[in-house]
Amino acid sequence: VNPEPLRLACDAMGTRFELVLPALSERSESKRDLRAAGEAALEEIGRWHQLLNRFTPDSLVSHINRTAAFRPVRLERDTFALFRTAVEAWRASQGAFDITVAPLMADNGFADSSVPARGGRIGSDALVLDERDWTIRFNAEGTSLDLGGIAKGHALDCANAILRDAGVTSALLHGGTSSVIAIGTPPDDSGWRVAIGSAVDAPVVMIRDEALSVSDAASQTSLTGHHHIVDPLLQLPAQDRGAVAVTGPSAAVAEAWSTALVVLGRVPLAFPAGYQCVGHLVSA
Amino acid sequence: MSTDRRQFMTHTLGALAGLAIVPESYELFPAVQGGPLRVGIVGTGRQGRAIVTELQKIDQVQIAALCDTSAARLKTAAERVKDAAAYPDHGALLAAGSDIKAVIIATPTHTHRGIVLDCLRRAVTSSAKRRLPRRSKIARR
Repeated sequence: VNPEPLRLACDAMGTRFELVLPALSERSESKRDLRAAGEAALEEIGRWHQLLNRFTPDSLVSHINRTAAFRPVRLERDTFALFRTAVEAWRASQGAFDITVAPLMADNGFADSSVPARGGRIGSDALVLDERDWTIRFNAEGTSLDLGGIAKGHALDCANAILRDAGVTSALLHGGTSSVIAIGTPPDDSGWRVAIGSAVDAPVVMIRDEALSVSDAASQTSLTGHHHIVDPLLQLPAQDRGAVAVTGPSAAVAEAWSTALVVLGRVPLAFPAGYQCVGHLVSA
Repeated sequence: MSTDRRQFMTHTLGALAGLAIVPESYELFPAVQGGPLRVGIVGTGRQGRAIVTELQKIDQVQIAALCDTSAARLKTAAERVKDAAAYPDHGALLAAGSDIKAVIIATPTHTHRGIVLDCLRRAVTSSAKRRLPRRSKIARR
């Protein structure tokens, strides 16, 4: 009989992150190491919550939103890499995924009193990433970032790296159940089985050493009744196309693309290699 | 408006404590004579990393050096910060002569005394997260 897995959780990014860490050994030092690794991973998730939360004035994203239109903002390497990933997804999806949707989100009721809605500019062509100096700046005023479509995945990617560095070979990590990373397999199966949706007959995906992201425009609405995914191209709430799931090596990339596919309603030719759309969308 | 490194550190440390309350205080930092103040950070754990993140927001500061006795943690930290030199301990950082004007100490509290004294010997302004007891010998020195 396998021992009960260690479960750790924290609240971040407006949802609940959870780690399931099967104890592969009964040795107490092994369990202690597992807990330490899990707590370090949760701490990393909390750190990214603080950095990427546009609703708190002292976060990095709020600092960028205030400053980057006037001068370049220095970034650490991993933060710079996150913005590069976001811009690559924007370019490949022809604008269907865009982290400059903050004004649009605010217009649709996802605003906070500390970040008032304003008539802003949408389009990641306003983001200038300097590869040499690791800086970001906006080349257009009114640009404002909202990383809600990629932040959970990125936090999970970083937590995944910490767990693997600590020698963890079996774990399931998720943020709000919509972004998931599987490390290895559970002790008694050949992969981690994840249901896409909560219906009894919901399709089940088996993942092993990969990430999964599920996006559904209708899964969350603002107080004004708008969907939480916006279409940056039409500048309207995205259509309800049901759940779209993407699997692949990086949770951040999978999350960006599951969001983009909800907006596009099809899988474009530029869909990244190594990733798969699991669902009903038609390939281009 | 310009200032010397000691005045600058006073501004910086006060502001680092209050950033969560008044983020606009970044704009209030005075320019430093001779370009950005080159700062070293001793300790790259949770506290050190948070300090790096806040200092990166201040244009008048350049994080020039990092040090940590954990080689793995130091390597990771140095890879994150553009052009920061990495040292295995604070002695190596101070001895490198890389024009470090100020050191911020983010190590366990019981190690602060020795690091502060070494900084004083090298005439490098230092800041520890916790205040030293006012009447202690080290504080008087």
